[in-house]
Amino acid sequence: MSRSAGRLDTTDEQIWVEPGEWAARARDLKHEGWSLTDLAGLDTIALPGRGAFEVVAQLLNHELKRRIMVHVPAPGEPPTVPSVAGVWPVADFPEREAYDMFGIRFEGHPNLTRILMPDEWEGYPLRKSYGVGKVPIEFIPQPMMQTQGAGQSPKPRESDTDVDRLGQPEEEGIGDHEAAMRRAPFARAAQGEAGDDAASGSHLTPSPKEEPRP
Amino acid sequence: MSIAESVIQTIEDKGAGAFVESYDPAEENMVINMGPVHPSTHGVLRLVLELSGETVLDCRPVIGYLHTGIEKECEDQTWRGAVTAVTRMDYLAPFHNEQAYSLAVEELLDLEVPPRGKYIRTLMSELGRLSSHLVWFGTSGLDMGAMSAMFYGFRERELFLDFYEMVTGLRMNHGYNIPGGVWQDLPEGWEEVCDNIVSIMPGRIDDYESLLTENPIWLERTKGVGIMSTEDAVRFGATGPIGRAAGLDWDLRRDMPYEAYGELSFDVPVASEGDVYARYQVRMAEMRESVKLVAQVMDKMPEGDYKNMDPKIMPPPRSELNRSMEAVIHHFKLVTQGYTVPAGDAYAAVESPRGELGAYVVSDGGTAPYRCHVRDPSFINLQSLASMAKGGLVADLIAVIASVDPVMGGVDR
Repeated sequence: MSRSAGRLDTTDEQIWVEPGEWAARARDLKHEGWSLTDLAGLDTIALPGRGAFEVVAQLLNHELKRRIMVHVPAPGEPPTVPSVAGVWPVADFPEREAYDMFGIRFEGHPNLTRILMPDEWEGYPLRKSYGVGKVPIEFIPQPMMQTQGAGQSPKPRESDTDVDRLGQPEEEGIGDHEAAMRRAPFARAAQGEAGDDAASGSHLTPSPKEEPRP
Repeated sequence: MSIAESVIQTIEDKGAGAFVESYDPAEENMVINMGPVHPSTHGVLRLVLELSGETVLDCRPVIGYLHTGIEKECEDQTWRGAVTAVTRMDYLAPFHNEQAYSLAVEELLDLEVPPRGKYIRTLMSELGRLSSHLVWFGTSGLDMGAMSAMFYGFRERELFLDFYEMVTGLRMNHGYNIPGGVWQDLPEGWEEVCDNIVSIMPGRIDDYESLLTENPIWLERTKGVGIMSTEDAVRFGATGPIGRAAGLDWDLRRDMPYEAYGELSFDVPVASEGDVYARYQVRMAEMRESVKLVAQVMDKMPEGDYKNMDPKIMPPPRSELNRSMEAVIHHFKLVTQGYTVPAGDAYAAVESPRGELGAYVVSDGGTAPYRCHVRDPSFINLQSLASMAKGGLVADLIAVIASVDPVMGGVDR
């Protein structure tokens, strides 16, 4: 890579290390004064000639004031490379992150668990096969409000689209429904907590002052 | 019911069940959760503590509560647009996030930043260090009962935020450093505002020091607390003020100069004690050095372009669009699809207020980053927390967390 004078020399060279040799090579490099500053996973599926996954380590030599970048291909399914957390303890969190985001197994890591995503998460978010926007958002459905579309303010839900009411006898018209909600917008939540939601057969609660409908 | 069960029952009856994971009456060891919502953990940091009475036997950080997938988000943006995503990582040092990313992209593009651009970036970087350390000063003072530190720190921080607003239009998440320079020149009258900051700050730092440096309560809480050796700092990769307070004499600004730092003179404060007080002293001295750097940058600020005017990378000035067909074409292409970056990998690092902040950027030759990984110093520095906290008291742990100064936006990204 060409580099013009006077600009930051970030990385002097990039080297490729076979996964089988990585642990031994890491010990040698540490012996030569290289310390690990960063380690990241990389999905190389769309990069020509570079396999499926890689682990990329940034090494820094404090005495030479130089950096090198080490690429370690991670072959197989699940992709596997030896851990270097025993050589450089600083690799602990970054390796867990690479496992969490790419599903790369680091053999010999003391505690290879998810670090950023929840433990029960399925899939590896930074893989290229993991699309953006394919995960259903786990919001609890809001009983009284329904957003019609992006950019619109929430509107009162109409009874014919009320999923909570599906399969239940329709007792009131839409107009009454809305009128009841305007009168007592928080009544339903209070009733739901009381636990007599199912018994009433309806999710609508008229305000206490209202007479029962005939 | 055994003693252990009855203790746990009592704890749960008092509504604290969520905090206690286990209790061993024979050893009197208890595993409890500190956080994720705890006023002293600076955001949503959760620590699982193994305690024997008040003594911390083990400390395990549990993170991810603020994970928003910014690295994935970058892959969906143009090279220019990803700046607005990375700036939201470490929200107390937005300029440094942008700077590291921009340097990495410039390396791939082989793009030169004009001198004025470099100096403006250096200026904003040093002001960013000051405003970030002011938040550290305020919050760590607050954590240890010195509430006035909070008022003073946040009062002075307004000076900086006002200047950022004047320059970038925003108080945080600026998106100001872009590949090729900065997106807009400094506004008229910036010298007066900077002069004001440079003349006010040394006296204010003296005030802070008179508040805490010889305060017996402060000394009691910080001296000899949370000690980290130089070996541990190297082992756990601690960088920035934490590393320098432990005797690791390393500063990227001096040792691997970037931007305009090679042309400026400054000292790198180092301490050897490695305790909370040493970190306090190092940060205070760093603030003084930053003020000097800002003054130097103001003196040396060159004239000329503030960004690389390569029309393939940078949209043309508005005036060009009225008379040049070329400019319209370039403008159209840059707005609709952005520019392409040659395929390759690059890593660039800057010295952020918390240590080495690096960006690892991969291009497949397209108009969007193929991968944008950020090595956040808070994330790495958290690993050394256990070594500092072990053997200390719970109250000392609060002091240790404050001295590490983790920003959870950067840790979780």
